[in-house]
Amino acid sequence: MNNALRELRKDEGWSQADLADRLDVSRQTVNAIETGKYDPSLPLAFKIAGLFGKRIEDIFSP
Amino acid sequence: MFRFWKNASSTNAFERENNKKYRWEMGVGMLLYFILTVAQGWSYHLWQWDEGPWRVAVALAPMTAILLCVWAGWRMYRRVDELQRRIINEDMTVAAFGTAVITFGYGFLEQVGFPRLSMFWVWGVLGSLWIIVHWANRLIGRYHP
Repeated sequence: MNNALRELRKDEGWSQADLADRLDVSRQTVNAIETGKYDPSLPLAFKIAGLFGKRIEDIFSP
Repeated sequence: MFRFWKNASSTNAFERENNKKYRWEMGVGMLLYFILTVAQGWSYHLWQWDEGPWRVAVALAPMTAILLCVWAGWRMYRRVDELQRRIINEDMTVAAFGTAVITFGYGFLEQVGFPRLSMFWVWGVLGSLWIIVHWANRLIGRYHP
């Protein structure tokens, strides 16, 4: 899947570690999602969407 | 290909906190294992536990520390995030299949005269394969940058 996580994160001025701490995941997970190596679970996708105040489909796309 | 050398150990507060708890809990287990193993050795030397009902209890004494290490490992598994859990599951699955192949293969070889090996070797094989598979996946950048 494609995602706009990196752009959204940079718009907030956060590092990968900052975003990972806000999501209670490892920095490795944030990096893997941004580079397309890993698709988050539904609960984590909802958490990401809620953090940025967007819908899941606004961040993730097939 | 060799991305391992590049920012392989970069972590965030979530990971550092989990790692700290794991090291503490596993460290206590390993220290207890060392103490019990040494004490077991001394007791064999002093009292020669070759027979009697206590020899089984003495032989299994280090297992209390092993169980503590298992508990520490389980707590670590429950604390990590979903990707780390997936990595553990995938690496351990491949290591388990590899261990089955190696131990069964050697079992057949024992029937044709190869030296019989202790059961201690099984975990040694599994643990070694787990490490090899994990680092191989890191080298190819399967989930790592």
